[in-house]
Formats: sequence, structure tokens, C-alpha cells
Amino acid sequence: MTVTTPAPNPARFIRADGPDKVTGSGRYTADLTLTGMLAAKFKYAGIAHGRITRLDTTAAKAIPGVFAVLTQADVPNVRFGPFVQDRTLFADGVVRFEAEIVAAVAAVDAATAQRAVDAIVVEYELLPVVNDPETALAADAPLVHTDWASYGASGALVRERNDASFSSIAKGDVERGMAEAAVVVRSRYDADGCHAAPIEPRAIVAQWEGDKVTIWTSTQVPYDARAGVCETLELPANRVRIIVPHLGGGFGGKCGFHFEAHIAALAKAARRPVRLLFSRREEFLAPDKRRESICYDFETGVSSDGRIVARRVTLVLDNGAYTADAGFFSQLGAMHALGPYRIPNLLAEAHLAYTNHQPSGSVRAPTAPQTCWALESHTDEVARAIGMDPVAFRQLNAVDTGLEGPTGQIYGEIGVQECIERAARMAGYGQQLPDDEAIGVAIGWWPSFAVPSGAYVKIDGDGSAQIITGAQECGTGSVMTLPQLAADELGMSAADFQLVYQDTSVAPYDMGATGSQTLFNNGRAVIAAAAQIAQQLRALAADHLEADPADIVLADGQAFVAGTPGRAVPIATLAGIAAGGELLIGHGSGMPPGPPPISGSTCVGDAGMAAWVAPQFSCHAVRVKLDRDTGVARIMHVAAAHDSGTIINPLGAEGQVQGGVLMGIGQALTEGTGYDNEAHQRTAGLLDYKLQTCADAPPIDIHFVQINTPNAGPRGAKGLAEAPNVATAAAIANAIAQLVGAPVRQLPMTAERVWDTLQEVAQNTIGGAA
Amino acid sequence: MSVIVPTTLAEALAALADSPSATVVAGGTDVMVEVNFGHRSVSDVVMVNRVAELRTWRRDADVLHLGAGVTWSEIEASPIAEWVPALAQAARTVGSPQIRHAGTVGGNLGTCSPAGDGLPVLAALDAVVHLASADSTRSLSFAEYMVGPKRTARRPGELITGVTLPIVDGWQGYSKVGVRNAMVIATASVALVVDAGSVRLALGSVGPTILRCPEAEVFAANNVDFTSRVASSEVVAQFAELARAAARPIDDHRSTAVYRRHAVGVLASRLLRRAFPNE
Repeated sequence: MTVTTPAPNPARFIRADGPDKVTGSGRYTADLTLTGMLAAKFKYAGIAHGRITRLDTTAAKAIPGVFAVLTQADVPNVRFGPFVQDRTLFADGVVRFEAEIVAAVAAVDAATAQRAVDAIVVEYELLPVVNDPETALAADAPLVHTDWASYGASGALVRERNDASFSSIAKGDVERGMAEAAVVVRSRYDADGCHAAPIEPRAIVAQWEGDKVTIWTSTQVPYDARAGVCETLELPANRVRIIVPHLGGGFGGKCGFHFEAHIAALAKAARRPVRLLFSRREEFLAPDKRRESICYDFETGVSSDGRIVARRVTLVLDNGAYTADAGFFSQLGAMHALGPYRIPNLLAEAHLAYTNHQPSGSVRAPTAPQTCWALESHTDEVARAIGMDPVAFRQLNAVDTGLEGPTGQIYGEIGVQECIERAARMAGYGQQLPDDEAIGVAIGWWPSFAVPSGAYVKIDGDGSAQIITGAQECGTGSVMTLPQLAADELGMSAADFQLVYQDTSVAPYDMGATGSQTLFNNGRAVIAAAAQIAQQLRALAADHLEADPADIVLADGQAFVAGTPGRAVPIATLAGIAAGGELLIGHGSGMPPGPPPISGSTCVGDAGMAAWVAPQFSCHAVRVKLDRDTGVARIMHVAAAHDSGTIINPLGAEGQVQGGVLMGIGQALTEGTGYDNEAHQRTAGLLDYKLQTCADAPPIDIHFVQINTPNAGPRGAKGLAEAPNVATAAAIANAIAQLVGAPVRQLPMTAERVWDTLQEVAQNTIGGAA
Repeated sequence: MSVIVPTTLAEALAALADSPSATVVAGGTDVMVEVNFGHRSVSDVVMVNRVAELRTWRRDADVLHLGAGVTWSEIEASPIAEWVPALAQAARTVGSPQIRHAGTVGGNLGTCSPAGDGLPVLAALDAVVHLASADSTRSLSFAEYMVGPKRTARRPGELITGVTLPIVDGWQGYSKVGVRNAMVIATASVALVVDAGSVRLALGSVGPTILRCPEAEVFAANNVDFTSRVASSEVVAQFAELARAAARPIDDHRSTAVYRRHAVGVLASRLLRRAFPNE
């Protein structure tokens, strides 16, 4: 295969919001104070499943300083949800997880609001708790939603009782493939759920002026938040304005529509601005965004020469109490369980099981890191079963340029093979290591999401420019990359552009800081908007320089006639001329690239994840040192090679990979959410839910396999925000498995679980010897 | 709610005499976590972080006296680190640099969690805890002082003024298992001190109090060679087994009893091997 490597962009630019954030002058939502502002608090169920038999807010309302107490009776009776309309703003008579909101209070201060919350009387008839996704699928399991069949839902979803979304992918004849395989390997894996855990707990401020409401909120997706408010409070979009101050991280946890409507409704009822500030505990329990736990049963058949001939895999995902944005996770999880491999015969089946847990939702690369962990652990088991080196096995079986993926998508030029080769080389794969160290390797993939997106560009009379974009920033720096694209289009410098964003009433639509899509889609929009101005500038320059517009070149802040650099006029001069006439205004969106064709596979419950636009590939190789006495694993070095197409902002791209790797280490070793017997989260706080710290960060070597990818983002770029989070935990697992002598079948691979596996291996060895 | 900020020990003791059940706050690194989690409601507060007498230390011959307000960042550095290296090792695992600048040895004693990082070292060193009230003072051995999980012999109106530790010639060390490399509560921790023909072993996070291990200590003292620093691998293994037997761990959301019991054995054997590096 050939990999073209475009000249790397030399610009390693520093993000424009950096000084604000570092010096403390930047404003976050929680920093806002409005005159007369009230504090909001929620009354949570506190139990996982129950029918409300009494709900009395009289005493709460009577407390001096309490301005509003709301329940579902006080808001429009709207059932909402992006895939299944299974949720209401407040409990609809039944609570289905411990942080279900039963009522909301606005009061003069937080302490008074809390007193009012405590004064709300709620009595429940306890219902059976559905605490395990697999048993939830049994025909006689108690239903989380007794009215599931009557709910509105996306027509693509296949639903049945507690299974909110069944999805299958089939190709070839899996029975025959297994029968003809030289070796068949079966594996079971279980991944716990985990959390996005952004540093900023969410905050929302709402203020009404007449019949219009402005909501400042810490969301990654302002237009989604607006749509949620409009739907649940029955308002047109032009009366709801969402503004996002600086966002203190999201990692997917602030995607979707959360509590904006509750706070807007409180502000309306109280006739005062209202602010909600979440505690860390609420941030863990209440959002409908928790990385889904998944259990896996894999079966893979290989030929005697090491080729995968068949795979059968079943996944059960924990949906939690409401479907939120997880409706497409069963198909996405199935794709990740098949992986970037060539498999002629396959059947993947995935179930999204309702439980009485916190709802699952988009946390950075939903379904991918845990499924990659399970698949790639299984892949090493398969390679070992036929005596092949795991890297050679992947090189033999991974997809490649011009070859066919599991659903029959034929890939254009892709760099997965080069990623494997590069990561292995950077890690020193094959080197002699001490007895307590090993290198594990894993490959991963992730789609780019092609969706509509808009931007405006304008140049004022003094030659200074603004980009007005719907794109949202969640800490990745992706929005900060947009000026570079406009500058290149207009022959200006990035410093000539100021960004205006974070306001739905100012800028055109964008999906938000989600799906690794900002540069991919909004970059296209900014270039299209800038191109309109470039057209204007060429016409103005042609007039000014008495030349053909087709001969005008824009570069170095000037317009000049091609081949005659002496005949030039500064762009600022042209902007001055335009300020007296037609004005320099561009708007753009461009057409998103369409989905590639697939053939030969059959998908049930097709949520649009069977064909991937501009798929991203990665290979991580991780050297791990294991203390076999305690089961404590230490990450010594990470090599990460990524095909994310052309890299436009190398500094930002490296930051994404470093962050994704560190998040992956956390998922591998320490981050997991368990539930007690009553379906309460056991580790809903940073004291017990351990994120990785700087002291845990290993050296990380990064390589980008840069391919100018067709049918992709600007300049052949793909996404990059989620892909770095996919393969790290899997690579760590494969190193640990070598050191332990068997895979650790639960994620996270805590010291206790590693040690348990070591004990099992020791017992089996003794048993085998006897 | 009243907050009193005395600057002398006499003022602090007078404030506690007026309000014997007041919450004493030094660095606040334990108290404020509990307050923020709603696990503790605070009425009256006596801040002792500005009491100069509590913030000093002194060495008298082979005895080190640490004021209750000496911080972990002072303990992890020279010269204290050279005199009580095990306590310095424990200090380096307390929280983050910010927490070590605020958190104090007196605070560790005041909270008295079985997972308190400094406590196994204080227990293994047979530290003496000094308490004062407006009209009296008394000194308790660590074993007398800690009576249960987060329960101590301190009486209402009493203030922890300091702790005295012997400066010993023999090897000493501290080790813990936690889930990451910084800001982590010990899953299990062990301190080992060798002094004048004795071996002392204390276990943290595996019982209601810090546990000393008399059987392991006597066994080690009788079976190692102190001059040539020899311990056979059988002795090390048996020492670990006796440490495990002394542990009284529980299952909770941080770990399992089985793992904790196993881990203190590993840590005890490693510390003994470091103290007696020759087979």
C-alpha cells in the first residue's frame, strides 16, 4: 500500500482561549451572577424503582424565600428522547433510577432551596429493581417501562420489552465458517460502566425577558440543548437563546439536552433568573451520560494459516432507565465487536437493555474503548491459540486499502497497516524485556460523522475579520483551529480573525462538540463562507488593479495579479472600499460527504452505523510493568499511531492523543462504576472514582499517518477527538494478559482483579500438574 | 456558628474550654471534605493553623517532638526526613503538594482514620501523643490514643498539641498499595521499624485501628541477624504470614478483605527484606 504524507502544516498555534483560562479571567457558567438570581435544587428519587403514591409540595412552598416548586404537573406533558420518547422532565408517576428528578425548587439561596427540597413529601410503592442488563432481557423480567410499546421511537429501532434497541449485522454463513475453521476460540468479557468526569460540574442560568428565554449553560451541544427546551416547554426556536460561557471539559458527558428546561421553567414560575450549580455527586449521578457497561460473548474461527473465517458475537449493553442518545449504541457496539478486520462469515447481535441504572449516553467514543478492550483481548487469545504473533495476526487480518470491512464497505486509501507497523516500532515491539514487563498491541477504529454545519465570516472596514460559528468548544481546541482555515482561504493570517461562537441566536447551526465533528464539518462551513469573501475580494481587486478576477491571487494579506507581485493591493484597503459598498460577508455550510455504499451484509435495527464516512484507524502499543505479588500494573510507555487523515493543527492533535491515552489508562485500571444490590452507584465521587493524575502519566510517543483522504473533512482531514480513547485499554490488557498468563476478563483491570486472575492461573497450573 | 482564630496555645485552649465540642481545624484537608460531602455538620470552629507553638518542631537528643501543626510538606523534607524516614515516606504519599502544604500530623491524629497515611509509622515508632486542655495536660501512647475507626481517647475540650517520636538507628520504612500514584487512599499500608534488637510492624487500612503485630515482631526479632542484616526467605515468608494473620480487613467499595489481607503480607515481606537485605 502507499501512504501519501502531505507536508505537515508548520503552524503549531496556541489556542486563543488559553490566556483567559490560565489567568483566571475567563468566565464559566458558575461565575455568572444576575440581579435577583435564585438558586435551584432538585428533589431526587433516592430509590432506583418505585411508583409515587404521594407527592406533596405544600410545606416546601410555605418556606419563606421559596419562589417556585415544580413537578411534572407544572410543565407540558411531553415525552421526549432522541431515539425513544421514554422520558419526561420530572418523574411521570414512576421513578426509574436513583437520580430521577421528582421536583425542582427555586429559592433565595442554595440552603433555603435545599430546605425546601427536604420538605417535599414523597411516598413510594417500591417496584422490583432491574439491576442486571442480561437478566433484564429475560421474558419474565420486570419491565422498567410498562408502557414501552406505546412510546414514540425512531423507526429504525427494533424494540421488545426491556430491549430498547436490538441490532444485528450478518454476512456470509457463520455456521459453515465455524464448521470449517481449524480452531474456534470462545471468550467472555465484562466491562463496567464509567464516567466522563469533566472537571467542571455543570451549571445553568436561565433568565426570561418577556416571552423569550436566555439560558447560559455548560453544554457541548448548544443547539441540541435548545431543541430540548423547545420540545419540552413547547417554544419556537427563535424564543430560546442558548449561550455557552467557557466550558470546563465535557468528554461527551455534556452532550445532549439535560436540565436547561427545568431551570427555564423554574425561572418562568419564579419570575426571576435562576441558577443551578451541580455538586460533584450530582455530576456523577444525574446526567443521562454514563459510559455503558457491556458484556460480551465472542466466538471466532480461524483457518490453519491464521485467517479469520467466522465470528459470532453477542453484546448486552446497559441502557439504564432511559434511552437518551444511546439508541444507536447497539449497532455501533456491534461494529466495534467485529472490528477493523476482514471476516467473510459473521453474525453480531447487540441488545440495549433497560435497567434501573443511570441512563447511558455518549461518553468519548461510546461503546468503543470497552468493546475494543474485549475484542482485542479476544484477538490475542485467538492468535495465541494458533501460535501466531499477535501483531502478525493483526497484519494478516486487518482491513486495508481497497479491501472490504465487516459490513461490505470497500475502503479507499487507509493507514491501518502503517499504524500497526509504526506503533510496534515506536514501542520497540519484539525487544528483550525484563520478566515483569510486556508490550501489548491493539488496533481500533472510529467513524467520522458527516452532518450539516454552518458559519459566517465577515471582514470589517479596517480589515479585521470575524468568524461567527455555531461550533462549540469543549476544551479540545478544535474551534481554535477554524481561523487557520479561513486565513488560508483568504491569504490572511489566523491572528486577523476573532471567533464569535457559543450563542445559538447569533450563529448558524452546528451539531456541537460531539462526534469528533467540529473541524470535520464546521471547517468545511468556514472554508465555504471564506470562499464567498475571497470571490468578493478578487472582484474588488480586479477592479482596483485593472485585471481579470481569475488572475487575482490572495496571499500575505494582499491581493495581487498572478505572476506580477508588484501589482498588489492590501486586503485591508479592499475591505475599506467594500465598507462603502457591498460589505464583505460570507456564509457557508457546504454539503456533508454522503455515506459510502455497503454490500453483502444484512443489518437489523440499522441506526446508520453500518457504513462509515472517512473511518479513522489507530494502533496503540503499551509497555506495562506488573507487580505480580500485588496485581498492580504500571504503564511504562505508550506508542500511539493514528490515521486521522490530514493533520491541520499538530499541537491540538497531539493534545487530543495524549488526553485520550490517559483517559484510556484510567478506563483500563481504575475507572469503573459498580452498583449495590439496590442499584445505587457505589463510587459517585472523585474520592472513590479514581481518574488518572499527572503522576500516573507515562511517556507517550505519537505518530500520525497522514493521508489526504477523499470524501472527508477539509484538506482530507478526519475526526480525532474520540479515536485516541479507543485502543489504549485494549493494548494494556494484552500486555497484562502476557504477564499474568491469562486475560483479565473484567474492566477495569484493578489490582484486585489482576491478582484474582493470577491466583486462578496458579491454581490451574497446580491442578494441571497434579 | 462561631469561628475562633487563636494565635497562641493559651487562647486556643481557652476557646476549647468555652466550646468543648468545637471542631478543631488545622489544614482542613479532612474536615472540609466531610463538610462538603455533608457527612459532618459544623457548629463552632477553632482554627489552630495560626498557633505558632503548634507549628514548631524540636529535637532533644534522640527524641523528636513534632507540634501538631507541622505539615506533611515539612515532614517530607530535610532534616525531619533524615530522622524519621518512614514518616517522610508516608508524608510523600499524602494527597497532592497542595494538600501536603495544608495537612498536618495533628490532623492525621485528629481524624484518626485507619487509612491515615502517617499513623502506621507513629504506631510502629511507639509515638506518644500529647493532649492539653485549659487546666491539664496528658500524654498517651499511640495504642492508648487510637481506640477505633476515627475514634480516639481525646476528650471534649482537649487539643492535640504534638507527638514525640524516638529517633532510631535501625532501618525503617513505609509502603502502601493504592489504585494510582498520587492523591490516593491506601488500600493497605505497612510501616516497619528496626530498633535495638526489635522489629516493629504496624498495619493500616486492614482493621478498625492501626494494628501492631506482636507475633510477627517477636518471630522476626528471634529469627533475624541484626548485625549482619540477614533474614532467610523462610523467615520473610513466615513474617508475611503472621502479618496477614494479624490483619482484620473488611470488604468495601474500595477493595476486598481477601486482597487487603494478601497485600499487607506482600508489603510486610518486602519491608522486612529491605531492612534485612541479606539471605
